Amino acid sequence: MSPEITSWSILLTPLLVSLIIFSLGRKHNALSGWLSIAGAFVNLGLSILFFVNYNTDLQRITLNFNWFTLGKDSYIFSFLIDHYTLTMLFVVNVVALLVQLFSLEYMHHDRDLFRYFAYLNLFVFSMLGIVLTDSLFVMYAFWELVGLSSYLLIGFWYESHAPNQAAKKAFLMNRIGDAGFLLGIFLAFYLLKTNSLTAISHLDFTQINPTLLTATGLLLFCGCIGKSAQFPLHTWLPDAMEGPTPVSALIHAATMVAAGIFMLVRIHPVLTVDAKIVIAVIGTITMLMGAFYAIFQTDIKKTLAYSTVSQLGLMVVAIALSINGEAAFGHLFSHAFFKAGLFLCAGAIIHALHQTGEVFDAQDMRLMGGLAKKTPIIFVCFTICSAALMGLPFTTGAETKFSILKVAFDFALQQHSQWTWVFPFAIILGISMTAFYSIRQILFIFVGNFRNEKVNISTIQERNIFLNLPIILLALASIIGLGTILTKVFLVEIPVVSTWKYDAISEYFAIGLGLLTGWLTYQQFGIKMPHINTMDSFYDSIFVKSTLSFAHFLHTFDSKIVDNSVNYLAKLQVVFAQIIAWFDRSFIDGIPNGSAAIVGSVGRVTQHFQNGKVQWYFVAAFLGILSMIIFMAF
Amino acid sequence: MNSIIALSLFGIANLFLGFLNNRKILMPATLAFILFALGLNLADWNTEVLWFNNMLRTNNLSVNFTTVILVATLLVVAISRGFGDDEEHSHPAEYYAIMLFSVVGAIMMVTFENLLMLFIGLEILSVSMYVLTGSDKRNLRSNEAALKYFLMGAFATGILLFGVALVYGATGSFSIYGIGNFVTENRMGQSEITPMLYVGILLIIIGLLFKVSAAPFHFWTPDVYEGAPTIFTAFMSTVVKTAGFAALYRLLSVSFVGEYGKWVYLLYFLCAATLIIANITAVYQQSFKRMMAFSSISHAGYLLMTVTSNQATTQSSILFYSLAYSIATVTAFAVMILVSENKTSNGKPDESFDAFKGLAKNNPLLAFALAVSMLSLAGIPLTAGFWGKFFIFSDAFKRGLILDLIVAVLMSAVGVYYYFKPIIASYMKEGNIQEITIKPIYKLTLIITTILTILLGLMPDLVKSIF
Repeated sequence: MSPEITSWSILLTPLLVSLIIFSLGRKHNALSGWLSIAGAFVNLGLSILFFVNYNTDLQRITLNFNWFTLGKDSYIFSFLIDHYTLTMLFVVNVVALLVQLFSLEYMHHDRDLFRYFAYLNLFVFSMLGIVLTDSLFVMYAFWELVGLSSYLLIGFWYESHAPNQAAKKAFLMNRIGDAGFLLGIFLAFYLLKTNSLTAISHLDFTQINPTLLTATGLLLFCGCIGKSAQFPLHTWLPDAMEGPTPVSALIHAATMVAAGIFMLVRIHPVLTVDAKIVIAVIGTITMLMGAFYAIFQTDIKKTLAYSTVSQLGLMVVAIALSINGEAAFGHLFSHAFFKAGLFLCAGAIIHALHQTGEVFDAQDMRLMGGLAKKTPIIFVCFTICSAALMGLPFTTGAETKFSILKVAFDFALQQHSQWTWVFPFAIILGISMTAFYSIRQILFIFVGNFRNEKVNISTIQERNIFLNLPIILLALASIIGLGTILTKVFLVEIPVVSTWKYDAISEYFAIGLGLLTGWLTYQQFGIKMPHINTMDSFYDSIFVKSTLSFAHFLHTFDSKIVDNSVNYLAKLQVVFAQIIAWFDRSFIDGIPNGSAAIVGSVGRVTQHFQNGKVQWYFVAAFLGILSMIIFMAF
Repeated sequence: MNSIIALSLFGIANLFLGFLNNRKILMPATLAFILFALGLNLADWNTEVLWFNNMLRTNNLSVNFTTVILVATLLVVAISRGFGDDEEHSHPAEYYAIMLFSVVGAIMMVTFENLLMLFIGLEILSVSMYVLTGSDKRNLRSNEAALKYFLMGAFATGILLFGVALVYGATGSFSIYGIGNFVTENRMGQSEITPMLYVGILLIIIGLLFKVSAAPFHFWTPDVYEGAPTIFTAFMSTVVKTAGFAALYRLLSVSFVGEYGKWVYLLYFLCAATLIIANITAVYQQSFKRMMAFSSISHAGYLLMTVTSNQATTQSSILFYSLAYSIATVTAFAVMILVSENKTSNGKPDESFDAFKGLAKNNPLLAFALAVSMLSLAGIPLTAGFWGKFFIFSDAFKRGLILDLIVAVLMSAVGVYYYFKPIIASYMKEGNIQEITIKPIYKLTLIITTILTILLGLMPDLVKSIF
C-alpha cells in the first residue's frame, strides 16, 4: 500500500468505528466492543506494516494533500512520517487495543457501553491525528479534539458529581495551556513564516530575533504544561482518575499525556537555550513534586496518577537538557507500557474487589493487603511494571531512565557551571522517591494480612482472560525479553558525549536507598499514614505554623482592607452596570430593533408588490426593462 | 454530447415503459438512465469537440456543468418515490420522461455554440417545466402556477428571441465566438458601433435573467414554486437555475466580454437589488416553500455577483456554488415533502414552518439533514455553502464590487434569520410528529447529501480543483 493510503486509513479507521458505534446505539452495546477491537486490530496491523516498510534511520516522508485553495495560497493537510511517527503509531494502537480488550470485561455491565467505545475511538482518532500531522495548525485542531474526548471519558459516569467536576477541571486546565499553545503557534507562524514541522526543522534560526524565539518556544511549551500535566497545571491529572480505569490507563498514562512530550520532541529545534532552562526547571519541579505527593496517597489510582505526573516531569527535563528528543521519547515509549500495565492491574484489583458485592471504597489501599495469594497473576505483573517504573535492572524502564540520567550528566559536564549539576541530582532524588513509593504500594496491596473486615478474602478471585491477557502482555513488554526486543526495534541509540563516571552507581544506590527506606517504613509503621508522615511534624513546626500565622495575617488583611475595597468596588460596579444597561437598552438593543423595524417596513413594501396578479408582474417587468434601457443609454 | 442523444432516447423509452403494469420499475430505470448519461458525459472529459456544424461544443466546462445538472436530477429522481400510486393523478412514466427531456434542454443550454441552440435548449427546458408545474391537475394552485409560469416564460422567450435577432442583425453571426470576435473588433474601432448591438445584448440578458429569476423579473418565482408539486419545485430550483447561469456566464464571458464596461454596471445594480429584495421579503414568509422560493432568488443574486465580477475563477465559483446549493436545496425539499405530507392542515399538506415543530424528537435523521442543509444555504462554516459564498465573495472582492459585497454580506446575515426558522422549529419547539417511515432509497439520498454537504465544507478542494 502507498504511504498515503496507509496513513489515511490508520487515521480514519477509529473515526469510522466511532461513527458506526454511535449510529448503532444502545441496542448494540454488546457488538460495540467487538467492533472497536476489530478496528484496533486492523489499525495495529497497518501500523506495524507501515513501520516495517518505512522505518529507516534518516527517512522522513512528508505527504501533502491540498485542503483548500484561496487565491494563490493553498492550505495543505499534510502527514509527516518519520521514526517518531511510526513508533508512536505502534504505541497508541497497541495500548488502545489492549485497553479495549480489558474494557470488554471491566465495563461489560455498563448500560452505555456503546458510548464508551465510541468516545474511546474518537480519542484514538484525535491522538493519531496529533501523531501524524505535519502542520501545527492541524495539530492544534486534533489537540483540542483530544481534550474533548478526554473530557467526555473522564465524565463518562456523568450522573455522579465527582466525575463531572473532574471532567470540567481537566477541560479548563487544558484550555489554559491550549490558549498559550495557540498563541505560540501564531507567533511561530509570524516569525518562521510556516506552520510545517518539516520546514521548521530545516530552518536557519540565526536570523531570527532570539527573544521572540524564546517566547515562541515557551508559549508552545504551555500546550505541554496543560496536556502533560506539568507544574502548575498538573492538578487535573489526579482528579481525572474519576474516569473509568481503562481510560486512565490509555489516556492519562500512556497516550494523551504523552502528547505534550511528543509535541516538544517535534518542536525541539525551536527551543532556545533560555527556553530550555525554563522548561528544565518546570520539569524538575513537576518531577519532584509528583513523586512527593505520590508517597502520601492512599488511593491506588492516585498514587499512580502522581507517579505519572512525576515521570512526565522527568521526560520534560530530558527534552530540555538534550540536543534532540530521543532520550525523552525512549522513556515515553517504555513508560507507556509499564504505566498502562500498572493502571490495568489497579483496574483488575478494583474489579475483583467489586465482584465481591460489598460496598466500600475499592480503591483505598488501606483496605487491601495480602492479595498476592488471591491474585497471583496481577501481583507478578504489577511487580514487574513497578520494577520498570523504579528502573530496576532487566526492565525497559532501567534502560530508558538511565539514558535520561546520562543525558543530564552530559549536559552538566558540557555547561562548565556548577549549578547545572542540580538537574542530574534532582533526577537521582526523583528516582529514589519513585522506588520509595513504588515498593510501599506493592507492600500495601499484596503483602501482609487482608485488612477489610467487610469482605471475606476467599471470595476474591481473578479468572478472566480479558482482564489478564492485556496485563500479562504489558508486563512482558516492560521486562527483558519482549521488552528488549521492542526497545531494540523501536528506539534509537542515544549518543552521549560525556558522562559522570559514577552515574550507574549513583542511580542504583538511589534505587536501593528508596527500596530500603520504603521497606523499613512499612516494617516500622505498617499502613498508618500519620506515622509515615513523620516528616510532617518537622514541616509542621517550621513551615505549617509559620504558614498558618501568615495565613491568619492575610485573613485579617483580607477582611479589613481587601474586602472593604472589594465592597466599594462592587458598589461602583453596580452603578456602572446600571449605566451600561441603560446604554444597552437604548442604543445597542435599539440598533437591531430599529433595523428589524426598517427591514419590516421594507418587507411590507416588497410584499405588497408580490400580490399574485400576473398583469402587475408584467407591468413591473416592463418598467424594469424600460429603466434598464434608459440606464444603458446613458 | 452523447448524453443529449442518450437522454432523448431514454425519455422515449420511459414513455414506453409506462405501458407496463408494473410501475415500480420506472424509478430504478430512470435512475439507471441518468447514471448512464452521467457516464457518457464524463467520457467527454478532456476532449474539445464541435458538433453538428458548430452548433454545440463540449469541453471540460460543459462536462462540469452537465455533471452538476445530472447529479441534481439524480437526487430529485431519487426522492420522487415513483410519484405515488394514485391512478388518476399521477402518470409517472410521463413525468419521468418529461424530466429527462427537460434535462436534455438544460444540457443544450450549457453546451450551445450557436445562439439558436441556446434558444431551443431553453424552450425544451421551459416547456417541460410548464407541464410539470401544472401536473397536479386537480389542484387550482398548481394550474394557476403553470399558467403564470407560461405567461411570464413566453414573455421572456419573446424578449430573448428578439435580442438574438438584433445581435444577429448587428454582427451577422449566431456563433458565440463569432459574436465575440465582432464585439472585440468593434471595440478596437475597426467597425461601426450600432445601438442595435447594445439593445440586443440587453434583451438577451433580460431574457436570461427572467429564467434565473433575478430582480426585477423574479415575480413569477414565489407563485410558481409554491403552486408546483414540491418535487418539481426542487427540480426547478436546481436544474433550471444552474443551466440558466451557465448560459448567462458563457454568453457574457465569451460573446459580450468586449463590452464589459457597458453591461457591468447594469448587473452590478441588479445584483444588489436582487439580494435585498429576495432576502428581506423572505424574512416575512410563513410558508417554508415560499421562503425557499425567495431563497432561490437570493442565490441568483449571489451567483449574479460572480458573473458580474467576470474573473478567471468565475466559472469554478458558479459550479461550486451551484453544486452546494443544489445538494442543500434537494435535501431541504426532501425533508419538507415528508414532513408536510405527514401533517396536513385543512386537507392540504402543511407547508408552513409550524409543520416542523418537534421534528427532532422522533425523526433525528430528518431534523439533522434539514439543519445541515439550512446551515449550508445560510453559508455557515463547515458546510459546502460557506465555501460557495466565500469563493463568490473573493471573486467580487478581486473585481472591487464593493457595494455588492457589502450588500451581500449584510444579506447573508439576514439569511441566517430565516434559514434558522425551520431549525429552531424542529429542535426547540414542542410538537407531536410521530416517527415518519422513510424508504431506504430516500434515506440513503438524505444521508448522502448530508455527508456531501459536510464533506465539501471540510474539503472544498475535492471538487473545486476539478472545476
